[in-house]
Amino acid sequence: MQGLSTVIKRDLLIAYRSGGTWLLSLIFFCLFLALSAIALGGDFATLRPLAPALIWLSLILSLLLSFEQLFRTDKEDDTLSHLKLSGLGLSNYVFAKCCVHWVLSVLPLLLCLPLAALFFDLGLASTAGLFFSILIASPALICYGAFSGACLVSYKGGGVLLVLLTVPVLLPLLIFGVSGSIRYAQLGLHATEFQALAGLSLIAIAVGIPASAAALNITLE
Amino acid sequence: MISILANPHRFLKFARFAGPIFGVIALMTICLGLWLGIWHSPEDYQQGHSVRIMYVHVPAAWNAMMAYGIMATTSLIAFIWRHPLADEVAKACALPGAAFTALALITGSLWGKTSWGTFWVWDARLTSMLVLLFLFFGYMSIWATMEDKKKAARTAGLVAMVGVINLPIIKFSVNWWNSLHQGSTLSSPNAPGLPTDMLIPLLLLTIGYSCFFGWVVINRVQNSIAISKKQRRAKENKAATVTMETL
Repeated sequence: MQGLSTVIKRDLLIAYRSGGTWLLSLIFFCLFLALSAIALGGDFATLRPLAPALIWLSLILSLLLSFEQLFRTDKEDDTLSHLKLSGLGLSNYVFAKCCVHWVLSVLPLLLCLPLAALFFDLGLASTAGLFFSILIASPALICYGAFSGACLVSYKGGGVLLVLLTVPVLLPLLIFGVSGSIRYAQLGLHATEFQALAGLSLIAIAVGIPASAAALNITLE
Repeated sequence: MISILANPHRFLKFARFAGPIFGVIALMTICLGLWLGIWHSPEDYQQGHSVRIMYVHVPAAWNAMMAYGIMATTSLIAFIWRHPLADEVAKACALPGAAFTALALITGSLWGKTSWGTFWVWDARLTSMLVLLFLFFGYMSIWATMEDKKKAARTAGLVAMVGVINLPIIKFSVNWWNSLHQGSTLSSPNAPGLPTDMLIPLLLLTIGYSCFFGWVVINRVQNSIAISKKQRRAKENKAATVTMETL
């Protein structure tokens, strides 16, 4: 437990001292939304029905860009080998990393969601639907992304491969996330999609974290 | 069976007679199945002659899924027991599997043009086959990009296993999302079933495709064993020359 909090504190401190690079995914999120609103003509009547899909897309794209660096620095300066020897357990380490990554990349997006809603003139119900669908689906997003990042930790060829590995497993989240955020207006949190998203997140935690730990272990062999 | 074939020498002995047998059976059943399917099976009362695409399309789709299943199972075997040849088998399955998936998608889109009027629809089965193709590509790209082949084998195995856990979920979610493709004709209860004239060529071609797949996989494994033998020999020779120089 103490090791876990040490890793979390260390990573938060690194992010705090990094001069705000963790904000880049948030900036990408806003840029993508602005660009798509401009490309679609900027008319609220056409934008409003497309908004949940666009917001979900920009969320997934901005997250996909961030996973490449998740374990990279720890691998390069051999912190990973020390952690493996320290007895903390790589699964715990991956779990701590995922928590920090959630705080640094998903939480800012969730807080900025009202701003994104302004871009598309969304009502309160749609914004709340998006908020809850992203909140419930985010553990799965982070865990599968961490798995791809761990598989490609020693590969230095850019992020396209990571996108190829991650997108197939993120497809169910996209489907249920978009339809859940639309159906929230009628059914609230009782919509089936939210249960599906919660189930997907639980599966992703159970599968993604041990698998990422195994993938990191392979690179250390 | 699995542990007997773990030894590359025994595998090569097995492959020497199993490979040609698979090849011959594949050639015979595919020829016979195509002949029966094209000349000796009835037309569909709605779709006419275009229903004959089924004999190429359905076995390809089944075999693509089988290929992914074998890939994931052999990856699991390699991951748990460090079975040296299971990795090679998993690797060998990827390319023919991707080819079957692509064949199913292409013939499916041709069939879709004649019976639905468009080459592509965002229907549940088409989408999940497309995702299957991406999963195959992801698996192959791990092998292609990692330099250390041992690490590549284990990482690619993990990717295949995580993929196979997600396949039913993807299938289910895509079904939820949209469904236009005709339901299963053969396996579901109360299914209409196929007339025997159509069923026989379909099954013959399925057997033929599977044997062809087996033949390709055995050849690819033989090939990779030969390559690693050659590399090992080159390494040994190199060591010998180094000692000569130092002397």
